[in-house]
Amino acid sequence: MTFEEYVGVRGPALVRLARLLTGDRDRADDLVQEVLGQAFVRWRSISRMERPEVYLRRMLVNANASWWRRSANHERPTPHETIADAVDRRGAVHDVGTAVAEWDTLWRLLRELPRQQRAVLALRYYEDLDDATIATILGCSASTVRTHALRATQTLRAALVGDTAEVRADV
Amino acid sequence: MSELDELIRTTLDRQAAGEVDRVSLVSGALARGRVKRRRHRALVWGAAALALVVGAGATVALLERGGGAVVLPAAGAPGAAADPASVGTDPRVVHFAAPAIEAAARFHTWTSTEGYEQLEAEVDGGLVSVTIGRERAAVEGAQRADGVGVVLRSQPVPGLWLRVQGADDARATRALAAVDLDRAQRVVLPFQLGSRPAGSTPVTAYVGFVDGTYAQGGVILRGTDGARMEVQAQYSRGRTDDSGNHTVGGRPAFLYPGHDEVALRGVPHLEVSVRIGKAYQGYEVADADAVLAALTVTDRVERISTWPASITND
Repeated sequence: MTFEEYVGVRGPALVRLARLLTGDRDRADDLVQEVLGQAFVRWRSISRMERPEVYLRRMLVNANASWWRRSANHERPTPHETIADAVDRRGAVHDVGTAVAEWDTLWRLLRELPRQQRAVLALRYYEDLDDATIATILGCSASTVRTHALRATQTLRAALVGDTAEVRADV
Repeated sequence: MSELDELIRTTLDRQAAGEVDRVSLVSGALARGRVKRRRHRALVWGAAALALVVGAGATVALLERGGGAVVLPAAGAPGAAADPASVGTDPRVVHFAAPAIEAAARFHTWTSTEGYEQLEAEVDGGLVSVTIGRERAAVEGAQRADGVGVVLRSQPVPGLWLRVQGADDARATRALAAVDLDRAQRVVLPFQLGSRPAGSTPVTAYVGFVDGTYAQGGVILRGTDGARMEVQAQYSRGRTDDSGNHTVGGRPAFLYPGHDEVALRGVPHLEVSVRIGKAYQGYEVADADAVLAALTVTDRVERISTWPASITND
């Protein structure tokens, strides 16, 4: 498969994953184009890999981490909002039972998770990848993946039940 | 699945959803990729040129480089990926390229012979080899250092086997990434055969460089009766020596004791000879003399552009 063919077929999935990793649609587009630009240079070897999609996801995760580390980019997607604030703003969502509001609340919570935890959830719940593959993408062990997932869901669960103190500690 | 799991899944699906402009994605990726490739090439060539200039010293002139490392001329033929059946059929051609390996290598040697084509190089103090062939057995059999380091094997296209060996996983992986199967190059030497024994054909050619300077190369001829001779040339820094004990076509030569090798004398920076003994049998001194007498040798081995365009004149 040529580079152009691959990007045309599989590129959109990378963009969607990048939206979850970055929490920002414009930056997701930029990040994916950057990663694909790097892949273009080495496409001959990447295309021969057994699972090029795993390699590209690893590149994407690493590129996002690099962006995050650069001092000029240390502002968070929701700079003045913590998980606790998001929960507070949730207000009477459960009472109203509005699913959309619930999704918005959870999305704010997800964006506030540590980067690796959010990546694990995105790869596990959105991409439906197993822990071993996630570990390959993140460059860690499968047990670390499980730890990230456990801590992330604990944080979310605590926040959703209003355990503000625990949430602040984790943040 | 718990209620939280379902909520996470639904939330992520919702946030990730939305149209993606495939056309702009492809065009944007290509545009960035091309810019990166240009920068990458400029860096590679620049680094290689700097290393060679620093390392070569004043006594050895540099070979002409395609912006950095010495490069073989293009063959004007398809690479191995497009024409795997041609691999290992003509020793005057190698059907792949690996400029990044050449640029990084302290020494490297190209070999093209019956059944396989190979690049061997020393990179960062470790040997790497890249071998392609039509048959897996030929590719495996081409290795001189079995079992050393890490071996990566693949079949890039039907009918083509690729084997990359490196001292460790990182070197092997980098070497694999550097292989370009879309290009074919001519194996050239600082000499050209003007005549060869009747019925003989070139079956193997090799050319090696050290720090971007020609080191040695040769071509092996095989006759219909199985006779073999090697015509080879080694780089020599020393003064041109005209003394000899033999004459070939009016040129001074040296006939080795045992009559198994005849060497031309007086060739600037080259020791050119025909070997007809030991591993090479079946030809006589007169056959070697005839080959040497008709040999065209460059007088500027340092400049690959002065070399004959082909090993043979046909």
